Amino acid sequence: MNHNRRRLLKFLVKSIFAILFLLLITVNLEAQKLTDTISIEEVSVFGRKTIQEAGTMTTRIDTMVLQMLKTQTVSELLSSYSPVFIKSYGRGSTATASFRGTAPSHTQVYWNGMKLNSPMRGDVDFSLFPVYFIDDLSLQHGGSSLQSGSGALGGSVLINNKPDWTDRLSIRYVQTIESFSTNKEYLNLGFGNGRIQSKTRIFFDRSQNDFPYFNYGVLPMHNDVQKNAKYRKSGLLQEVYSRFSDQSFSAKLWAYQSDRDLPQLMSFEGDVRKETQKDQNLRAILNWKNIKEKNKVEWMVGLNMSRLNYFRSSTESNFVNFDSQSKERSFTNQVNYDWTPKETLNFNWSLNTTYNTVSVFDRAQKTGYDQDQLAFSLLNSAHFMLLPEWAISFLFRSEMYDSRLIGFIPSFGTEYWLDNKLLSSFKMNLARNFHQPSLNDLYWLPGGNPDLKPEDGFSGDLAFAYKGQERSTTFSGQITGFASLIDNWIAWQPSASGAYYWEANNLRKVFARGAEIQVSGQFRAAKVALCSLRGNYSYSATSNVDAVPSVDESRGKQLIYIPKHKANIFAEADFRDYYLKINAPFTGKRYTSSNNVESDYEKVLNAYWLLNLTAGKKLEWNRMQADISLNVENLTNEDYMAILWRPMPGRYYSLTVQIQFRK
Amino acid sequence: MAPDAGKILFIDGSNTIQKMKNLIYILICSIGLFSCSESPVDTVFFDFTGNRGVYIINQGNFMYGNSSLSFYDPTTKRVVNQVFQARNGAPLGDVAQSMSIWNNLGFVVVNNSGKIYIVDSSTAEYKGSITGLSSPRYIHFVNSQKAYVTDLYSRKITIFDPTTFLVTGEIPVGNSKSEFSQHSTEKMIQYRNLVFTNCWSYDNKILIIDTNTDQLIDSIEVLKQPNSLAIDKDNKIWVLTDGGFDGSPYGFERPGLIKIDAETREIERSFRFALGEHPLSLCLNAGKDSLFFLNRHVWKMAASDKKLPEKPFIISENTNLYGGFYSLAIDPSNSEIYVGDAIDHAQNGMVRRYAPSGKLVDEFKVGISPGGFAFKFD
Repeated sequence: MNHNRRRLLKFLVKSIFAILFLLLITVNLEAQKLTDTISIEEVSVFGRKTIQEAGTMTTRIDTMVLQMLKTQTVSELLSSYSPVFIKSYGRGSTATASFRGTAPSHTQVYWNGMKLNSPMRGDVDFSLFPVYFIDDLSLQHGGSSLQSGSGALGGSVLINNKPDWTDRLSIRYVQTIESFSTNKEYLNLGFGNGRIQSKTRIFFDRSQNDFPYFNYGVLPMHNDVQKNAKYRKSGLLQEVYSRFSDQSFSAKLWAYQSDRDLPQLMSFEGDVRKETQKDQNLRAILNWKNIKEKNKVEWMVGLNMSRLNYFRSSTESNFVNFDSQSKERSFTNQVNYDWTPKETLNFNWSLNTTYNTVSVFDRAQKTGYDQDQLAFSLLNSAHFMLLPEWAISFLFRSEMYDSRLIGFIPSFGTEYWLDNKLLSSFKMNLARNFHQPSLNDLYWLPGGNPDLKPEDGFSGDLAFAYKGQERSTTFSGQITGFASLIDNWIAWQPSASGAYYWEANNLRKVFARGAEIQVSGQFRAAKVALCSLRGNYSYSATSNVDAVPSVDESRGKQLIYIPKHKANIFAEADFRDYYLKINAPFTGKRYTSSNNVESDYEKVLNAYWLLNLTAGKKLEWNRMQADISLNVENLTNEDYMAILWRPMPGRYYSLTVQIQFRK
Repeated sequence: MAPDAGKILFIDGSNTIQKMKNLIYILICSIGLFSCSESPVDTVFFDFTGNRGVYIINQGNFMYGNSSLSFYDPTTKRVVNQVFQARNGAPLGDVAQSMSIWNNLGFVVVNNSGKIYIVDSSTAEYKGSITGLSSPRYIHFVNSQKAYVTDLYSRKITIFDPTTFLVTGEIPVGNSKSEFSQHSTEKMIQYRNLVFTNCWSYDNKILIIDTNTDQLIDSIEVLKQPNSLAIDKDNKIWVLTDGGFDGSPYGFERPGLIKIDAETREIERSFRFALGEHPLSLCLNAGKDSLFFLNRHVWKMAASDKKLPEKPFIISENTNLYGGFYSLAIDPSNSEIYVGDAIDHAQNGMVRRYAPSGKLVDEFKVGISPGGFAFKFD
């Protein structure tokens, strides 16, 4: 049975690849209709791209994908539709990113320009970001991320919200009923006119998450049900926008709460444990813009407050192991001046000031710390067209944190188009980047190391991009090669003093290199049918090149939990009001030991394909629109592990109904 | 399901271990080819009957569930890794802490899985388990009906019957007067009918338990954080303390080595290390007249010495990066020294075997974080 399943899967995968390949060889270069709407008054446009984007490695997630995954989290979105690898501890659990084979803290996340990475841990938990709260998501790969800020040695994820000035009154309600007692509800209310707009979004997502699985982590092996994995998440996003002549103003408020029970490993057979994590986020941004024909001034102030409570106890013996409360506050102030003296020349200056405070205390362990950090970052950038088909960008940042100055963080990018319609081009980017240690790395007790140096990276990218259209078929693709060398990579390892605890140190020199391939194609047959296909593949080899002792076999080996291969394929077919969507993400083999031992007993995590399928129908009556869809996740019931000895659900289902009213 | 599933291999005696290794290798490869199977069901049979040997307890990483058992035959110098999973098809669990052999049974304490797995010490075959524990650490066998399990968190010592594997009782060791959750219990030694156990985490006590009544009867205050103890041929109890860490709410002091008379329970002598040193793993030789411990390197001193040794007995070459040796045990039959080196704690560790003179006899790779040893004599 298992073999048949594999065969079916292989067949599907082969077919999809064959179609992709056919698309690739049959499509010719032609002008392509640009689907992204760019407001002319906000940004100057060069060709079909803003001049600021020329020479940068940026990927924008299609709004259709955002719409399709509206009831999911950003972790699932990135995992299924981007080259970024997401390390997820299971359904509803913590999910961190590895962008181009780097560590979770090397992916920086910005919400409308404000950095959201935890100053305490350095990383971002993507399972706490509902796609429903996002209007626009793009990725800046490698050195291109310096435009938004430093520290993204892998890349940046930009999450944005934007107004819909045509909205007069709109209400949208989405309900999802899913396996394992999961219920999700989303409500959106928008109203306003061409001058002022308000948008309110709220959501609830709760699940018992008690999926069945076969437990081969204990003796005797048996059918089991996931225990202590329930979660409850809810949130509110309120936005207000206004514009008068050349001035515009916006205010955004993000409130979010998540309560999760944390399950034990499959091998756990101990006394009753209670392990929970509670996250609360409150974020606010005020933004003022003055846009003239050649100048744009923008001022942003932001506040990001997070609380994380982690609790673990043995209920029987009434012993509390951990009762940790951490509070983080970040204040951001950013002034940005953008000057475009002519269509082929753009300058940008930006000064960002961030003040972080972190207070951590564990009532059970009676340890903690209170620390703050003040950081300044000045950006100077220039983008210009040297020739009609040749763009160059140069930027550098000067940064200061905790009275440590990093004077020169440069990035150089160039793009050369091979045709005068600007459809195919070569791009190159070279950059240096720094990543500051997190406050935990510096001050955690025991093992934090206040003498840590920032991680120091050099990176380079080379890409070829291509777009084409012939009659009813459009095609686009990009292939990128990248390499980066990161020195002073921070890792926690056994203390050199021989202590039983671990210590943070600038231990490694990591060489990360690889390639990213993205392709998409669309075919329209008559007016009623549409087929689209997109796929991406990434190869990331990340290894420590600096392991010294002879007994240490980790030198040159792939870092643990980072797959070399990751891919995903998405296919959609629309016919009249019906649609069918197939998504197949692939995760390559991952090692769990630093010397990359190869055997089942040593627990190499095997590669796996998942297959998700959605079928739906759209309905319309006057101003009311409805959409009903059935979704099957893990259609092939693949048995896989994303993390050692943490079970993952087999096949499961969800039903989503969306009702929308718009005036 | 793999076509070769259920294939049975039988290997007899130590002289065929190399052959067995090859077969394991072939098996592993075939499992790799059919990695889609629900679970690897192939069983590898071992028979270590009549062989002296050492089980190495590889802790693995916390919350990775990758602990394992290795078996080393000192006569043939052969090592077999992953014996538990190869024989039983299931993983050992999360953070194997210790193993104690009694009556041809191996009791493996799997700390963060809250259980004890019992295996046949000659075949590694799973015989049963004791579950529902909090954070079990070490086992001490009192007699054929009674064994004690210490625990880091539960504030009690669990009593079980090593013949039936049933929990038969508990000894409460809570200290309500302390603001720190005391007492955590660790290693155990026996003097007459008394068991002495050290309380390591945020604690400074040696507890004394009467094995006739299973009652806590007394305690001895030592220095901060006693991590190991041993009893010498003159019935002197030796206790090693690590002194906590800089910034610890319980305090930070110079580690110490303390000598206590088991009969009078009086501290007779106390040696102090420098602040910031981290001595651990106190052991005795077969004659129980020499002390060994780790402090990045292996150190040795006679029980009669009046001061701490000045030079290490065996030097670790990897102290700058990883803090030196990780675990230490002495073969009670011949005083050979076994040292575990966990390297970066993320790859297969190394065990080194030395003659009592300190001369290297053998070295071999084991599982991740070799943290303990259990000696098998028959």
